[in-house]
Amino acid sequence: MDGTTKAEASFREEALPHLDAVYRFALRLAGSRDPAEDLVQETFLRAYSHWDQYTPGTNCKSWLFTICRNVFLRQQERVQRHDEIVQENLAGGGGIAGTGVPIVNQLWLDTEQVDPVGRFFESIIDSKILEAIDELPEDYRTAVVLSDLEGLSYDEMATVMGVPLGTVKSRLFRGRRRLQKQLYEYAVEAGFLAPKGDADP
Amino acid sequence: MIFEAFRKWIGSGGNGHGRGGDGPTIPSCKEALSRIYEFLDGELDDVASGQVEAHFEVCRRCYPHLACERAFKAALQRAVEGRRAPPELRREVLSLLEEVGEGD
Repeated sequence: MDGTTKAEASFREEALPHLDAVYRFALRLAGSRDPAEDLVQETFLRAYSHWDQYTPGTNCKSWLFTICRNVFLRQQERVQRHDEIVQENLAGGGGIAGTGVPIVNQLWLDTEQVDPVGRFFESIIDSKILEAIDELPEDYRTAVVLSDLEGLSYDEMATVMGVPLGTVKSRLFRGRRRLQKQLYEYAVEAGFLAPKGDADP
Repeated sequence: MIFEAFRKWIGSGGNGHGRGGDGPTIPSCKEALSRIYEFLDGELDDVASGQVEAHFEVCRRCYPHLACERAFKAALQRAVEGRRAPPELRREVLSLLEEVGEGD
């Protein structure tokens, strides 16, 4: 307990004064406010967790800048790996285990510039959603209704539908993707959502 | 703020970035995304669920995808919220049961 309080105190005294400088540096690395703020938080978190490795009185600012840069580089690696997954899926490799449904949802790619968290779903009225569900092919419709409207588990669905678990998942995931596509197209048509490629550079 | 975050972090097992048997491991983007539906449907066991959740908590690229799928699910649930059988139907079914009962 005492050790933690001492570490906190010395961290506050030596490291925190460099917050502004680290933020300025993070801004140049990350390019905009939000990612820069994340970067600063992660930097100080990491610095605090390794505080015992810092020799008091030596160049704290450089030490923090080094951590900041390393965190940033690791984040960039993650972004690159993420983009690689997208490429891999577009090339046809991979897929959600057993179902062959692509891991990366086309919807995410289509909305990533204009609405990455799917806010447009909120704008679609209930009757339109039900209409879109009714337009799904029967197998997909049954799966989506049982799972997303009635809350059945996969096992329960397998019993009701009289098919193996793998088939349940395949129909459900494909059904969802199909439904999302319909709703996305409707939202673009109705003007709730800008189509991909319309976003400002 | 940083200190609360740090205490929460060490409380959860610390830096579990794939370091052997000890700490919890955080799955890769591909692993987490491939289990996104099973995770949202509550079909994963506690351990697997915790791992997938951990990835979405730390990965800024993947988190929006989770939010998008959740928004979709929420819209569907909203579309059928509170839908009940019409009162006349309920009455008909109840009287049907009574009739069948009388036949004994």
